[in-house]
Amino acid sequence: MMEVTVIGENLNGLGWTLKSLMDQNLEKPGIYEKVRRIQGSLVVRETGADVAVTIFFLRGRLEIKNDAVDRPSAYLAADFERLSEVASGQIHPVKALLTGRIRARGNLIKLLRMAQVLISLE
Amino acid sequence: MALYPSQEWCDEWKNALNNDPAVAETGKNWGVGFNGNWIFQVEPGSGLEKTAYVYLEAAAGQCTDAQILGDPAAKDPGFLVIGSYSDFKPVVKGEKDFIEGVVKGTFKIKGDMAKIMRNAKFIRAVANSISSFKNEYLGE
Amino acid sequence: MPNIDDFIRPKEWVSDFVSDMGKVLRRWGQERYVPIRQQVDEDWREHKLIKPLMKEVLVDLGINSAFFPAEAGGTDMPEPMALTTVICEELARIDSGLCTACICSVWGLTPMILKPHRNMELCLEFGPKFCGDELYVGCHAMTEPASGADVENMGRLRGKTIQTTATLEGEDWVINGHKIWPTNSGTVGDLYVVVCTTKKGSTDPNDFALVLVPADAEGVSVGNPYQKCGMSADMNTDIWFDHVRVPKRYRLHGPGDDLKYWRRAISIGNIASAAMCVGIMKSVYEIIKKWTTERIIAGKPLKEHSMVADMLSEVAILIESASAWKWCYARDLDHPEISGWDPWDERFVLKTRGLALYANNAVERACSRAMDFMGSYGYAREFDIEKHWRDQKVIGLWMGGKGLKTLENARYWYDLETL
Repeated sequence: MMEVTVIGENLNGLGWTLKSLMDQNLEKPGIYEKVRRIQGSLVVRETGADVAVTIFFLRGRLEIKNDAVDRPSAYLAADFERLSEVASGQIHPVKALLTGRIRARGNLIKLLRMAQVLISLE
Repeated sequence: MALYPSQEWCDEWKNALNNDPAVAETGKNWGVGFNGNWIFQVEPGSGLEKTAYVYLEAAAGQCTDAQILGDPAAKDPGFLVIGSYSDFKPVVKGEKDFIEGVVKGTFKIKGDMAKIMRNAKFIRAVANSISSFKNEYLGE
Repeated sequence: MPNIDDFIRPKEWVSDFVSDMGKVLRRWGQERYVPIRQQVDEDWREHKLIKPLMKEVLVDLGINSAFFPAEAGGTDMPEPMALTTVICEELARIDSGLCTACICSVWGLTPMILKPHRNMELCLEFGPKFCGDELYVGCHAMTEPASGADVENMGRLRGKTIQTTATLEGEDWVINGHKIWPTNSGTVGDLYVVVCTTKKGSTDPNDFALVLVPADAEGVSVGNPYQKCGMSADMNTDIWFDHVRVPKRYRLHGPGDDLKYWRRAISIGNIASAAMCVGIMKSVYEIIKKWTTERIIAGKPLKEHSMVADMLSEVAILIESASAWKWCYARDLDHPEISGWDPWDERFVLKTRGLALYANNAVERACSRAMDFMGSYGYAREFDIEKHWRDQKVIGLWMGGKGLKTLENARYWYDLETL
């Protein structure tokens, strides 16, 4: 079963939340296929507590660690409620971006592809 | 004023939840079709001598039960929140933000994170309600 | 009330992701580009405004890396033609010159980066540059002083007019020649994909070669930008190659395969050109819809006068027809399992010429008619029709021009043997 591997010291709460979400999503058919070919890194920052994690997409493997790397492929920042809205599929990431609910930098096409593993649709 | 944590405190919290329009509104879908019940595992320290278990039963925006559990195995919650008394106390007092604590890792949550994220506004409302009434605290 | 998103775009052929990228581009264009549109039009020589805009589109929005493999840092997007079509429509709607500059950064590389004919070695060497944080721009150098359309007329002339040569000396290709008009030449391009011949005058397809030449290679020199009547963001200059040495591995594929996969690039260019025309026409539609609604003549909006309605109707029909046609061919190119043809099939080159020709004529007609009914206002800078009118003309001039497009289209449908 595909799971996100934790790198380094104890993962912060944001990391555990996202890892749990991604592990759940990766069990669903089709999700792994969507991210399997991606190589890059995504920094996610929760702006309320100013806590960040970096998710590494390694063409079939996913890893997560505390804090932001210096030059990620893409960067995403929002407060917990906004991140949750996107992660739970309540608002499309593009719409969230266009309406300023989330801030993003970096390669946008890659960001939107990477974000697919973070989104849980019910 | 009730002592946190105690059964009296649980009764007041239940009352606060059920009289909070934000909880009712944002919690409409909480616990519908899934186990939305919680155990808050309050670890000893700062005056609390042994672990306390606060059980909260919630569904469709209503709290149907809140109690101190002698044996956590007596209930089967969908979500478990673990933290120390010294970390829970400021949240109950309204001095610190529960969600910030979760994000920083101060509180560990076990359960379906997708449900948490889908109902983040409800979680926020429940956390706000916890500090909406005055209490007494151990060690003070 | 209908708007530009109501023109034909078969939802089942365009993924939500691709549609969303279009929305992002549209928003970017509106916020970032439109306020400085007229200054950009004056920036044709220095590109002081244009260069940062290109970085935002190619690097920040990720278009430069969209089709590179993941191993090289790219995003490896599926259905390249669908994404290209949306990009071209949205960017051309705001500025077809900027669209041309951006899409041509990767266009020449398509024989190298697209599956199933990827050259992974070259992708890994150049991918980090295209997929990194800094702007790195590609340039496809085809046209020569003696011939432009002739270079593309591979079906009949088979490359015999190509004067730029690639000669193998040991482990290097030595490039000599002179190219004119490539998009992103001058101070813009960092890597040229150069159309060469390994034997001057040859009609052997094995002698057609595509060779990568870094812009800073010794022996490469460029001229000053041409001052054109439009498309300021598209810098075009002379490029001279004077005994330029590049490694042998910089030939994209090899004898026969270079030409074979270049045909796919030509088909992509034809469809992308049509998509640009549709984008421009959609902007024209928006402008004339607003104009003819707000302008009151003889007590009623201009659009309520029958002669004007005739023009408005024609513009809408031109957009619908070009859009539908373009999407059909884009789908066929992305899905050989449906079309039954490989994307590099010569028949795609010939058929897409017809699409490009139709779209060229359509956008020219739409701009001209819109200007007719806006009168002097259409001719004035402020209303943006004149910019589209100036910019669109070159779309009909490139990709072989209308002459080659006409001939090759007829060649396909009527089995021409001598034309």
